[in-house]
Amino acid sequence: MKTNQNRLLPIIYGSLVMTFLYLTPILNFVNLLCCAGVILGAAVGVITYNKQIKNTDMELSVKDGGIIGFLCGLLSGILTTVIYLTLIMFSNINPISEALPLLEKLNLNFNQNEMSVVNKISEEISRSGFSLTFSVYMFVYHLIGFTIFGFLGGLLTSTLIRKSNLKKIKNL
Amino acid sequence: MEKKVYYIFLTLSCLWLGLIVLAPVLKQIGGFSLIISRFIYDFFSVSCHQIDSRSYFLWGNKLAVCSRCFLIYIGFVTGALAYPLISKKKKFTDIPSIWILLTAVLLLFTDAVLDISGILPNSFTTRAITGFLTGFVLTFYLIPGFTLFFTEIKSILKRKKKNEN
Repeated sequence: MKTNQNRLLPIIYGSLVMTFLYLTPILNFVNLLCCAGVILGAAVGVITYNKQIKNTDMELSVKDGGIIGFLCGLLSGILTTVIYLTLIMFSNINPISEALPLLEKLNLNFNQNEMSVVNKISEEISRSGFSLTFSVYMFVYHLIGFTIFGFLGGLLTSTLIRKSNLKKIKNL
Repeated sequence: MEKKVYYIFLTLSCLWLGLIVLAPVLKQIGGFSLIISRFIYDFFSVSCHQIDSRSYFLWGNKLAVCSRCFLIYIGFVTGALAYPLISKKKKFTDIPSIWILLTAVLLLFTDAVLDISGILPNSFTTRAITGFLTGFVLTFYLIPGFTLFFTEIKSILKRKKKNEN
C-alpha cells in the first residue's frame, strides 16, 4: 500500500474549479455569497485528495485539508489574475474607465494627485492593454481573498470528512 | 492549546468584522483615512457585490459588505462568543451534525436563488435572518477545524523536535 500521496493533482483540480467559477459569467454570482465559489473549489480539492488516499494507510487530516485549500487559493489567485489580465490585453475593455463611474456612485471621489495616478494607469491600459501597477493591485487582492477563503473551505471540508470517517470506524 | 486557538479565532473574527465597519467610519473622517477606506472597500469587493440598495449605511456611508454578508459575519462573531457556553460539555474538536449546516446554507441559497430568478423578491429581513443563521452555525464547524489544524501542526513540530534530539 502507498503511504505517501501526491497533493499536486487535488490542488490543480481545486484551483481549476475556483478559477472557472470566478471567471465564468453568471456562474460567478456564486462568489457574491462570501466567495462560495472559492470555498467550493477548496472542497473539490480536499475531496479529490480524500479519494486519492482512500486505498492507502493514510487518513485525511485537517492539517492536509487546510493546506490543500490554501494552496488551491494561491494557485487560483495566480491563474485568475493571469487570465483576467490576458483578457484585458486582447480586448478593448478598460476596467479602470468602467470602474470610475461606479466609484463615483459610491461617493469615493479621488483628489487631484490620486486622479492623475488613476488616469495614468487607465491610459497605460488603453494604449498597450497592460499596466504593471494595476496588475500588482489585482494580483494582491486576488491572492489575499482566495487564500483566506480557500483555507477556510479546506478546513471545513476536511473537518466534515474526518467526522464521517470517524463515524464509519465507530460503526465497524 | 484549545483555548488559545479559540481566542485567536475570536480575535480574527472581530478584526474582520471591525474592518467592515471601519470602512465607512474612515470615509467619514476623510483625508488620508479615505485611502485606507478605499482599500478596505476594494478588498471586500472580491467577495461581495456591495450594492447600495442591499447594504446598511453608517453616517451616510455604506458598510464594506452588503446586508447579507454583514449579518453572516455578525452571526460568525456571535457564534464564536457563544461557542464556549453552548458546547460546555463537549470537546473543542467535536462538531455537530452536517445537516444543521446544510439546512442553514440551503435556506440562504434558496433566499438568494428565489430573488435572482424573480420568483420571490427577498428583503433586508430575510437576508439578515438567513445570513445570521449561516454565520452562527458555521462557527461550530470552523472552531473545531481550527483547533484540530493547530493541534496537528503542533504535534508534527513536537515530533520533529524529538527526532532532532
